[in-house]
Amino acid sequence: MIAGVGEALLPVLTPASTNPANEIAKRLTGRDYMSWSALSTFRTCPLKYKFRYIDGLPEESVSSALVFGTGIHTAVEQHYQAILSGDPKPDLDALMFAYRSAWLPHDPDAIQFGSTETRASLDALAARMLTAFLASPAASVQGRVLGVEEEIRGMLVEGVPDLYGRVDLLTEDSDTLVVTDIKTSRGKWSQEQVEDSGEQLLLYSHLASEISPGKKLTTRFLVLTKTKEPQIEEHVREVNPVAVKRTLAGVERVWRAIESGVFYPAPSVMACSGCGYREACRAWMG
Amino acid sequence: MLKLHAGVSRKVGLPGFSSASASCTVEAELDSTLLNDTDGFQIVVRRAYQSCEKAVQDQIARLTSEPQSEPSQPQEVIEVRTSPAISGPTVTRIPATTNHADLPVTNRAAFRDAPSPRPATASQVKAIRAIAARRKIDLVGLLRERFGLTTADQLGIREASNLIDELKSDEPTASPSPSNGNGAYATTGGAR
Repeated sequence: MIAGVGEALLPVLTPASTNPANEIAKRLTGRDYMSWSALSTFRTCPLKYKFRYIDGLPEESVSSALVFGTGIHTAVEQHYQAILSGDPKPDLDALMFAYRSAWLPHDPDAIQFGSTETRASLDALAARMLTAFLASPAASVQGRVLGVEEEIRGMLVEGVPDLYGRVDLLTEDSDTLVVTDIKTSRGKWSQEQVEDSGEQLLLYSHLASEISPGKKLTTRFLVLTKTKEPQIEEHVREVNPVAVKRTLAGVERVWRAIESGVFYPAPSVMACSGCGYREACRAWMG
Repeated sequence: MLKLHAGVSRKVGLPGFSSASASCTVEAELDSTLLNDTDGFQIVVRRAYQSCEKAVQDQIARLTSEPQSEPSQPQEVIEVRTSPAISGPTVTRIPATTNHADLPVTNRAAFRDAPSPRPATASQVKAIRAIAARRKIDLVGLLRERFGLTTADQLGIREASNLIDELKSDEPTASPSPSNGNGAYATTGGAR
C-alpha cells in the first residue's frame, strides 16, 4: 500500500504534449488522451466504447479472464522489477501473492466465470503458468531492463489525441530496444495471431523509439498459455515502418468516427458473451 | 523496532520545457504495538503521506509562482526524521543546487556531458530507491554529488541505467572514492 501511494507520483516516461486534440478528447471522455484499450474497444464494438468511455457506465460484470490476466501480469512484472532492482527473484509463493492481489478490488459476485471455471481452478492454473514462466528462458533478461509496466504517451497523428499506454516490459541490449507485451492465451499463438495483435506494440514502439535513438526497434509478445501444461512462447518481430504507417491510418479513422459520434452495436458471438453492458445494449434504441 | 519510510515526489512541467519538482521523505520509528492495531497503523501511515503531500504541494506552489528569472528551476528536498514517535518531527531543508559551479570538476563534467532527453522511467526510480535503501546509501547525497540533483526522478534514462548498474555491481564504485575527498553520501542515512 505504501509503495502504491508513492508510485502514483513517479514520473511518466513521456509527459503530456501540447496536442490541441487532447482538449477535444477531454471534453468527450474526461481524459485528455486515447488509450489502446479505448481504440480497441471501439473497433470491437462502437456502442461498447460509448457506454464505457463517453457515458462512463459501470460494467454490470467483469470477466474472470480479465481479472486472471491482470493477476498474471502483476506477478510477471514483479519478477522483472526484482531483476531491475537487483533483488532476489521472487519465488512462486511471492508471485502467487502478487497474482491474488488483482482479485481484491473486485466484488466476487460481480465476476463472471466461465462454465467450467471456479476461483480455485483459476488459482491452480495461475500456479502452473507461473511455475512454467519461472523455469523458462523468458524469466531471464537479455541486456538491461529500462522499464516495467511503464507509462508512455505522445502524439502519433496530427489532429488525434495523444496515445497513452503502459508498456509491460522495456529492455535494451547493445543494438536493440525491445518493447514487450505480456499476454495470456487459451492456446499457442499462430503467426496470424501474432500479426493481428501487433498493432498496439507497433504504436508503443513508435513512441518509445526516442529512448534509444539509432537502435533497432523490436516488438516481442510473451505469451503464457492457459493450457493444462502451460507453455511460454516468445514472438519477436522487427518493427516494420509500413505496418506502423497503416496502423496510424487506422487510429486516425477511429478517432474521426469517435469525434463524429458514430456509435452503433456490433453483435458478435465471441464479444457479446462476456460483455459487461448486455442490459444497456438491449435497452439502446439509437 | 517498527520503522516507517514514506515519501512523496512530484514534478510539474513549466513553460519553456522547464520543470519544478519537490520531494518529501519521512522516516520514523513507530511503536511496535501498532502492528496489533491495524486501524491505528493505517492512520499513522496516512498522516505521514498527507504531511508529505502537503509539503510537496506547498513547495511546488511556491516554485511555480515565483518569477522565472533563473535559467533553471530550483528543486528542493524536504527531509523529515522523527524518533521514536511520528509526532514532533524535525525538518531539514536542503537548499536547491542551481549553481553547478559549486560542484567538483568531475561532477560538473558528468552533468554537462550526459544530458538525457528522456527522464528516468518510474521503475528505474523505484529500483534506485530500493537498491539505495538495501545498501544503506544516502541517495540524496549521492545524487547531489554525482549529478547535481536532489531526487532520482530528475535523472535521465541513461544516467539512471548507468547508476543502477553501478549500484548493483559488487564493485564498491557507488561508494565515494578517496580521490574526491567527500564521503558524505556513503552513510547509513536511508534512501529517498
